[in-house]
Amino acid sequence: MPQDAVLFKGTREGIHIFLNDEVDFPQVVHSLEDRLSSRRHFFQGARIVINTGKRSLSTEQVEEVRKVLKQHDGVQLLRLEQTRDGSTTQPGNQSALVVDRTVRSGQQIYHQGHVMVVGDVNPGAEVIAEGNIMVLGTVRGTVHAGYSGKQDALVAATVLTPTQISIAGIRARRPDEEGWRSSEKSTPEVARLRNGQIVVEPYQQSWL
Amino acid sequence: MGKAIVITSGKGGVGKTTTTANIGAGLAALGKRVALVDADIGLRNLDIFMGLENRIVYNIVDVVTGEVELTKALVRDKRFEDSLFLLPAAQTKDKNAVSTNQMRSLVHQLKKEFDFVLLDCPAGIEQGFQNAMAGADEAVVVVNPEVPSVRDADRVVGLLEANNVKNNHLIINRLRPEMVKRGEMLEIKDVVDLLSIKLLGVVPEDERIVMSTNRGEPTVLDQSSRAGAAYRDICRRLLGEDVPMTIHADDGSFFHKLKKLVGLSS
Repeated sequence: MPQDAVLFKGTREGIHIFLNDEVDFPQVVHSLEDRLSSRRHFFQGARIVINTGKRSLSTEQVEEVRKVLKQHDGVQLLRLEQTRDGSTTQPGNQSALVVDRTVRSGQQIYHQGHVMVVGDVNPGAEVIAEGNIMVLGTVRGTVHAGYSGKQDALVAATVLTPTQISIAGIRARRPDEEGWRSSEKSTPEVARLRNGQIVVEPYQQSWL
Repeated sequence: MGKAIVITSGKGGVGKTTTTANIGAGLAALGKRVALVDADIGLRNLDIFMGLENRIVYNIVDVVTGEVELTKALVRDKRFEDSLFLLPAAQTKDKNAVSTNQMRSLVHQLKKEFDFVLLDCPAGIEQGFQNAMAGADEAVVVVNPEVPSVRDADRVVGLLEANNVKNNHLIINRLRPEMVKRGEMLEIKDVVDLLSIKLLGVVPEDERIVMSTNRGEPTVLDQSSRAGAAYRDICRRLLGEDVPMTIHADDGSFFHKLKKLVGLSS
């Protein structure tokens, strides 16, 4: 008998959806869509945790899942998690990826844990991390930390002047008046969420 | 074995072909054997810049399809004895007429005969660009000090690096010192900071370029042109000479400031 591609379980937190890691991903997405649509009212406003089993999702795959969820009113994705060796981890807590070059326009980095860039993040480049983003260089492009909802994720950089920045899905963009000129900023800064807003402050060692 | 350098920019109209023609002629004038390859198939231009248009018999497509020998298709530039040759693009074909592998083996063949193989890349990042960088050992990236040009150049440098073309040089072309002074143009420092590749030279805007292009005489050969002087410096730097980074502008006081900005002032 074929295994279920998706499995639903109610918990105190909300609804846990387990994506079977032994079934082809497109089929998993398809059944997720089916199941959600078949009981549309039931899922309205539901808080959802998605567990991908042993499978690590690529950026495109995460996007696909998000797209399916977006079609359903009020469905709120709390987080993505993985189960490895019997223990559950949030992707944001996994090891860090070190990128030892400048991320240039048109390039995209996605990692399920923290990302550390030794170089710049140029305009038109995107760095997406489930955890924190640290840049030893200048951020001029787009950075998304805590991509699947990790509220305590942060972005730290030697020079932080991103085109756009988001933490746990909350977005901010560079003020228009800063325009195309390069910034004169020279203190390292940290961006994090405070009361649902992105706040940028000078880096202080005591925080990390 | 010679060295193959692709001249590229991403954005169109920033001066790739002008740069190719001038570096080619400049290196030949310094006694190097140079082959220029027009990789912009379908929009053939380099021959006009070199004043060789009416001497073209065969082109790059004839060579890769095996219709003629490579040596037969090369157009010799008589101004330089036996040191400067052009392999013209086909005007009646398109970018897909040459495959990446064909290009690679063609460049390899040229490198055996010449000290430098300069590949004039088409604008964009599609097939034509992929072909032009296929056989290249290094790249010269041409930018204008404007935001769109720099953005495209950054994209191109990323693609070059991903394709293992790692030793890349930057030429800032068409700099207008008066505009930089007024704060209306990106400064050299901004461009170099963002692209973080080696600065090979800065070429000031020069009206004579238009004239020299129409006449088919690379401006590098014109001793009185300020752009020509910049290209001569660039060629010497390509040969490994340590040439101080001066900006060839009319306003003497200005280039000192620029030198300071690039961090090359002593």
